[in-house]
Amino acid sequence: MNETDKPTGQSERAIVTLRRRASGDAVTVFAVIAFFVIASGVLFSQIDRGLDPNYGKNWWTLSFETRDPASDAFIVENHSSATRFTYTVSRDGTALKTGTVTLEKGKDATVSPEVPVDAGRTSVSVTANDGTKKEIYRER
Amino acid sequence: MILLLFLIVTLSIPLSGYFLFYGIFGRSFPVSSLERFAFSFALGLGSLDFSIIAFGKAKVALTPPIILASLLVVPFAAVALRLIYDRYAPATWKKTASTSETVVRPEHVRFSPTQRSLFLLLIGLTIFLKTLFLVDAGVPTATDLGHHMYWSKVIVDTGRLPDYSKREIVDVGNGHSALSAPEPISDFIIGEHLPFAAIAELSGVSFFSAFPVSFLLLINIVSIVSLFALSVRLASFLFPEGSISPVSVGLAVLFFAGPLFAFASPEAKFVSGGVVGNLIGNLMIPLVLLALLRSFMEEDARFLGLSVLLALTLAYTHHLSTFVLAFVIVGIFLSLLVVSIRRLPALAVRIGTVFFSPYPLLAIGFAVAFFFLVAKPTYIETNAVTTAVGTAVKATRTGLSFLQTSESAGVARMALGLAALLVAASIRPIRRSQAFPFILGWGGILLVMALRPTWLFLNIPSDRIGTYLSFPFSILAGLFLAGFPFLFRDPKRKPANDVFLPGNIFLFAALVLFSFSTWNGSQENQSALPNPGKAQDAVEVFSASRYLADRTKPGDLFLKDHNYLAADSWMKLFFMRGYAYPLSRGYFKRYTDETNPREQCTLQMISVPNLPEGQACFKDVGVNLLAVNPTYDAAQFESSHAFSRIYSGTTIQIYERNR
Repeated sequence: MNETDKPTGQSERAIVTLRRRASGDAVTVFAVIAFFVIASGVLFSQIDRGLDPNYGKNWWTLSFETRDPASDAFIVENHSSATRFTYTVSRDGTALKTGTVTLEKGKDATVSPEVPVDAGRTSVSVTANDGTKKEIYRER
Repeated sequence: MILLLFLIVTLSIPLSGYFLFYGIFGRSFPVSSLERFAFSFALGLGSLDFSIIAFGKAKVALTPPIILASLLVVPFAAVALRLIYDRYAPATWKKTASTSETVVRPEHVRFSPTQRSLFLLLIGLTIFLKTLFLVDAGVPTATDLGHHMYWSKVIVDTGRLPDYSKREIVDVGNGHSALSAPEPISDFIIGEHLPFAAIAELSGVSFFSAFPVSFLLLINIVSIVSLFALSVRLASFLFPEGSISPVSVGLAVLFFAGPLFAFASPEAKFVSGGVVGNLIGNLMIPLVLLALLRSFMEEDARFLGLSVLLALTLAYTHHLSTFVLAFVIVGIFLSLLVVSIRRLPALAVRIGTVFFSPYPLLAIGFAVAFFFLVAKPTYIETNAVTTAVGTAVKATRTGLSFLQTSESAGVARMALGLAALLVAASIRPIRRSQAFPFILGWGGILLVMALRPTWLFLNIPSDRIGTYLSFPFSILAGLFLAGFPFLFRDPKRKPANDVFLPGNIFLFAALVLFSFSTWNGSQENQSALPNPGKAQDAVEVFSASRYLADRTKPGDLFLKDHNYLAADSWMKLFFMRGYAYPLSRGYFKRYTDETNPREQCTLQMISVPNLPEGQACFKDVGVNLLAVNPTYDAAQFESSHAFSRIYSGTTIQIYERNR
């Protein structure tokens, strides 16, 4: 901490000394800024990883492609270590169609099962090869 | 590249403040480098805020060039005026710029090489610990941060100042509910959002990144630097003969405010939680007090002008901090009256001389003109101030116990701080020093506000007040720690700082003191450690939000759960259809709070969607989409034929109400 002002009654030499010390203190400020820059670099790289849907994470989703009740097309989005997804489309518990989708981590696939549009609960059930299972359904 | 742009824009704020500081006060303004840095950062924030508000109120679109102009125009205009003034103003004008010609400023506030190394070690350790905490906790999930970033994104998306309003479900009588027209809200203040909007607009960095947390970390770091600077100045006035090195006091304060309680509120926990207003408040309050202290002790009116500008910035940023600052200033003033009871006429002359000077009067003139001609803070426009004063309506507002207060401030800081107050009050030169009221009034009034708010007719949550205690009690604890050896000094012995206690006993006592402080601070840090693993839950919620944002229209009404979904307050950033979109089922306790009755529909539509009251709410309000955590809330929808499950993840499912 230094004074950079001209203190009343100080000699010229004292003023020069004070100014030199002030520039020395500026180094302290730059060090604080440098610490912040390093911290920001770490935070950006680590939080970007945290927000990366694939990095260190294991999850997948199942959803209808549209909200249109006349469509049964569905999307499997994979961010897990599983790669094979077996689906069954059924209506009120009766299986109408089955199939398999192969997906790498970070990929998604849209499946259009082409089943008749009838009244009742149309379900899409998907089981991954790691044993996890998800289901979506529409009531018509 | 994005990181580089973020850093350039972010560091431009203190740089613009530096130029403004130079423009207003000139090169020879007597501040240390750390003080100049902290004041520059705070002034840069203020200049940016007021410029953008002025442009926004003038209906100028807030595009990147205008934001850049907001950052640069005022500081460079100030520099130009300064250069003209320095060159052409008569010498007699320049003489009146400083009223402190006859006051000897303390000269012993400088670092020794060892002290500089210790400072860098402590501040480096503080930043290192906070960064470690934020790496785990910093993924954007915090509720408050999500709310604040929504408003900042509104500014970026619309190019206008936000209209702080929201639609709510209201009871319209006969057991029916409806969605209200947008109603003004006073919880948010423009200064909390403009810096984030400016950084995002100029650098292009996404709100879904480390940028909000990094910027808040910078604010937190500068606030600790400010506290250090304030404690050094305070110590230099308390010990004018140099018996205790002010920088040593500052280092002890840095020890208590930095690494020891690095994670606790209001430190890294507030950074990750996005408690923007409090963090900016904790930056501005020590700086305002530092400027006030120096203006009073050195009779330099320029510092008073500076304190007015910083307090004005705070007023447009955070109502609670502004409120606390006002009480702290009153507390300091009352303490000053008590300390100067036999010198009141001299005190009045001293205050009057400083106050009635060009700098403070110009700053007050600017504040009044801005308030009446440009914009008022939202809490003034919505008359929210009256809700903070009066009889406490909730048990959470009637004061904390002493134990709770100690935990808020940090037990070690409270214990040593109170000891410091007792010791200081028993030492005559300190007790009679006119600098002493600045810490006595600050800590004392906050203690009363936290312990006995009814004495001051306060009606605000006492735990929020408790978070403001950490700064004054860090200073007091630092004073005690640095002054500890001098309590046992025997002036007859040589060297003068030799203690009268046997060496082993003194060493033991010092070690106990140090170990207690370190143990307590570290324990607080451990209890505040975040729960890692939230990142995946948050990413799943963001993915579901993106899915729904792409497949809905403004006519769709969406309700989500706040209790069990991660990062749910961030969902609104994917839609940008209003602050209350999606609607939210809040914490369960809020629906049974008799002191603040609220609508029940957001609870019933998720908890009991198949019962008549739930169905009536769907009919009245028009909600057709719901997002819930399947672990807790799937069964009631699965059993109903009224809903389709259109999206299924591990921690979030989306249901659509069938037409």
